[in-house]
Amino acid sequence: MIPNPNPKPKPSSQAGTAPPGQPQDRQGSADASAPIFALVGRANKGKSSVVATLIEDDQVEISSEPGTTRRCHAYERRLAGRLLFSIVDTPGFEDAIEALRWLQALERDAGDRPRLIRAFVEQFRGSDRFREECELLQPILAGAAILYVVDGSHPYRPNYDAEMEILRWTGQPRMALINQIGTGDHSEEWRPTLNQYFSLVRGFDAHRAGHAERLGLLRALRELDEAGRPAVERAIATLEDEWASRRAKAARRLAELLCDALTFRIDLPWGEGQTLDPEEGDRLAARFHDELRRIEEKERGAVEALYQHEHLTRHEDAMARPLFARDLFAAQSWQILGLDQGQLVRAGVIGGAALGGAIDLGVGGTSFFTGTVVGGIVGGISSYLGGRKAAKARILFKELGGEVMRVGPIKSPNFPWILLDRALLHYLHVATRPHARREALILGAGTGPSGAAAGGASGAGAGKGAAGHREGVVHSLGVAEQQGLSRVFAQIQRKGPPTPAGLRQDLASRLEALIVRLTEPGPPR
Amino acid sequence: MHGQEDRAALTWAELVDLEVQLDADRALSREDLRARDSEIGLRIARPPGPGAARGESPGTGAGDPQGLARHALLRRWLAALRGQTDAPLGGASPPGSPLAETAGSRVAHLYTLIGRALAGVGLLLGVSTAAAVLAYDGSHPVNVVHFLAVFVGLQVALVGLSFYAMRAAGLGVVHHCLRLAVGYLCRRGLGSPGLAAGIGRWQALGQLYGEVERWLLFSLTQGLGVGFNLGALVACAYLIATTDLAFAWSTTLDPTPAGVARFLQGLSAPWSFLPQAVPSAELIAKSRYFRQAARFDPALLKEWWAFLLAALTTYGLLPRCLLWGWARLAAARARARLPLDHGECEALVERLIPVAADSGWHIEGREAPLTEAEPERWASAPPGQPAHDLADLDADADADADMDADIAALAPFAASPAADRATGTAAAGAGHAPAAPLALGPGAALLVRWADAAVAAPEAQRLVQARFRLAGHEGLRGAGGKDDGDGQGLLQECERLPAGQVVMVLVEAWEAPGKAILHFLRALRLRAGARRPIIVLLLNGPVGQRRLPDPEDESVWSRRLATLGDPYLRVEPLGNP
Repeated sequence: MIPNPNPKPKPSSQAGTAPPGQPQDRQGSADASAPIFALVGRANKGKSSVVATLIEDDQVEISSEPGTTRRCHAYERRLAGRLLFSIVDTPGFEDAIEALRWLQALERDAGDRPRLIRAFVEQFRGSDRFREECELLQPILAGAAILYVVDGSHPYRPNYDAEMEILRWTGQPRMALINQIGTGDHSEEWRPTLNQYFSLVRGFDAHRAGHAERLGLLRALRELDEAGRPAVERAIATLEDEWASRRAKAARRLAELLCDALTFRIDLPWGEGQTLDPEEGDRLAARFHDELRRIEEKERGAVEALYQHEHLTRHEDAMARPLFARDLFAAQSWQILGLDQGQLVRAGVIGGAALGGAIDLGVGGTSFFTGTVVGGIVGGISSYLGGRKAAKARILFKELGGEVMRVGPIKSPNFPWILLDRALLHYLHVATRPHARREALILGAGTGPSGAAAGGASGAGAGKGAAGHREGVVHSLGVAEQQGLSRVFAQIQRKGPPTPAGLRQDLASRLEALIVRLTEPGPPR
Repeated sequence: MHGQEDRAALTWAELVDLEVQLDADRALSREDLRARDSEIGLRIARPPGPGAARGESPGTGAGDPQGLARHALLRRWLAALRGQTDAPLGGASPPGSPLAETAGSRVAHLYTLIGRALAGVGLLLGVSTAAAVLAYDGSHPVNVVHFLAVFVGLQVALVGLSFYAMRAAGLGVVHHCLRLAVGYLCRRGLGSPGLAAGIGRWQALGQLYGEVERWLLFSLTQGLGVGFNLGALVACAYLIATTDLAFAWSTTLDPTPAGVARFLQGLSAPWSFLPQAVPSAELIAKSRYFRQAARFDPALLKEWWAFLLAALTTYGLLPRCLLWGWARLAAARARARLPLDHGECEALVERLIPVAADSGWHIEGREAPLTEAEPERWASAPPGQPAHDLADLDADADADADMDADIAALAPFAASPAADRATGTAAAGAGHAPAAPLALGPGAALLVRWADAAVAAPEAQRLVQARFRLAGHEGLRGAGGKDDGDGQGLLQECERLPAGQVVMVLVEAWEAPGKAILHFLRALRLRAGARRPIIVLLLNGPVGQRRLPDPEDESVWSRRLATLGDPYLRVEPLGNP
């Protein structure tokens, strides 16, 4: 790891690019302490994927075509204008055996090797022969630490020794990453050889690694070079703080979504005696739904931006469908998300009993807990009936003095749970999604969070995904969590728009706690 | 049923159709191609002519008989495809209709149109040039020197240049420049690998069909020349017949009339049997013209016209007509000589034949397959032993007489002119052969293991034997691996390989093809000969559990190796589906 040699101004970005070996900070001055890592290896071994995941940039070009990376590209990880570290993506080794043969022909002794590497680059720079080797060695000669990437899904072959030997000749700090591109696992075949050439060997699946794995890798890099250790530690601490901050912001976004959607209604001027014909009713229903979808879409975009997935392509079953009973798919969606009938009734009973209990307390216990019992029964029945209605949801039309037609809000007790479930599913997918993955994010039936939360999220009793089972997250929450949220939802619905700030904050705090629990990483590897 | 057609080489239009179809086939899976072509193979397996099955020439007398047999096979294949609505050649034209609405017919039509347009342009040019040269207002006679310079001297020079152009590389230069440009763009990240592969394939086509292409272009230019001379001749004849042209010769130099007479009479030698068209010494002496003197005898000066028309016909029109005819003939001969044995054609012919091979039918001129289930038997065979010795063990394979005749009829198709040494008769194995094979060589292949691929000689031999039915392998050489050295020994060995012997390079499909293997294949091509089949075999899966490679890996290899522009290099997967 080296100090930055050439400070140059560059456009501000959180994860930007700069000429290799030249990371600069947002203000234009070089951050002298930020470490630089050069990702090297053979073509198509996932170097660009590792870069994308480590710096959380879904714009890094990844291709199955070998030789896509022809030049070194330095990517910077920045936060609040401060450069944390840089990673240089390099072209792959193309003919390491011949390059090593050239080097060995001139070698006098081991001390001569770094000089020979420089001579090699000088000799072949600008020519087509060994062009890739020269290109990838340049940032290393400029002082970058080496991250050597191999594909652990395919077996080791002796011809890889040549490139490892060349890297060893550079004398720079080196670490090997065993990436997993395919389904096979030959990591153990690789380790004996890698251990001979690299001071650290670590598995890193760029297509599965989450925040915990990224931090784990950075922690390992602390050990690579003593001189660069403080800078890496600073980067780790900053990233941890930033991750917590992201979670809090995401929770606030989710709370805003719920508050806005649960209290959303459309008021229309309405003539006295004017009747609502079916066509007009359909139009109003469509408008109501479109607005709800827009509110949800806004939240989705905000969460994706928080986790730097601005270019994510997402396919999600539109919320419109579950809301209208005429759609067959709606019934299915309402069966796999939200709470089931039993949980809804339980939540209703607890809520009603709590209300009745408050009355009992108000009268000093003279009612002999009649309020608690009656409240529980009423709450349970209404939840049961409301829950059933929810499956064939309809829009409520209400005339106010013959002058205003009000559409909404949706009063179904399961509606907030379904809304929350959809938002949590999306959140878990986005927060745990490595930036190396470029396929579209598909959300809907059969895309439960178990996959999304793999690694980072413990699963937290997430949905089972099988036919006939709920696939969402809220179904598996604890009773206390469900009760607390149910109470907040009821208050939000009761108070109508705008939701009081305290209620919003209460909901955000509960959601943040829920998110933390769902995404809590295991102990560092 | 095909008779006469089977005796002719593929036409220009059919060649275009063939390559268009092969290009379209790249988008199809190997399974789909095999299913389609094996079915077509059975349908078209009729003897191409009365002596074909016996190996006699069914051809026109030009070119290699086996080559023509392959032309016939491919013609039948194209005709069969035209009847399939889902094939690029089909749909627009009813089954069996001759080339209607195919890419080849459109190209041929375009070529005809261009030829006619060029001839028309030449005609107009000739008329206008003649009108300019013979411009005469009565004040000064037409200078014969101008006429000879334009219609004889210039034309002879142009014919000479045409010959020179034919000897030069021609289109090869264009291909080379394009390749350099694409290489430059790719190095700077501006060109795409797909573009480089496309140019490579174009270059490969240039290598295959460059000769035909050159002669076709040459005939087009000669058409222009014929039109020009015809136009000039007609215009001259018209002006001579309808106006009172007077000719003289004039020069600042001071040649003696006797010397001029000798030159012009020498020029007239080809038509000396027409004395009125040979200028006499007296005419030459009296028709020298000085503008200052402005004295001449118009009646005398008219006598030049016959000479001038004869010169234009002899030195202008006649050579162009001969060159035009020669170019057409040479193009046809070049087409007939096309071996059509490049990699994709070989793969196609392999797909057309295998029905029989997989069924265990007896195929003349082909080696017997071994299956992966028969390693012990292979292991027991001494190296270099011919395949039929081993295959004799399978002599109990069924033999249906009718089917056998069909397959035997395909034998001449199978052998390309390059592979003219397939000998012996072998029975096909009864086991599963993943794809069908043909006589790729004289029964032996040089096997090369690239970059430490995990394959040992017995397994490599067994896999190749099962896939290609090639026997007598010569062990397994290494290249590009840790301990393989610089490969010079291997390349020298390739230089000494017998003609037609195949070189097979076994690679692991998941390893991206880097520059190292491209360099190696280029060196191999240089040392092994321009038309030696080189097959890059893609391995996948662990030893003993070989399976077909990932289609994306195969596609990456195909695209990358296509950039080499080597028509005799092909990529084949090796393993069980």
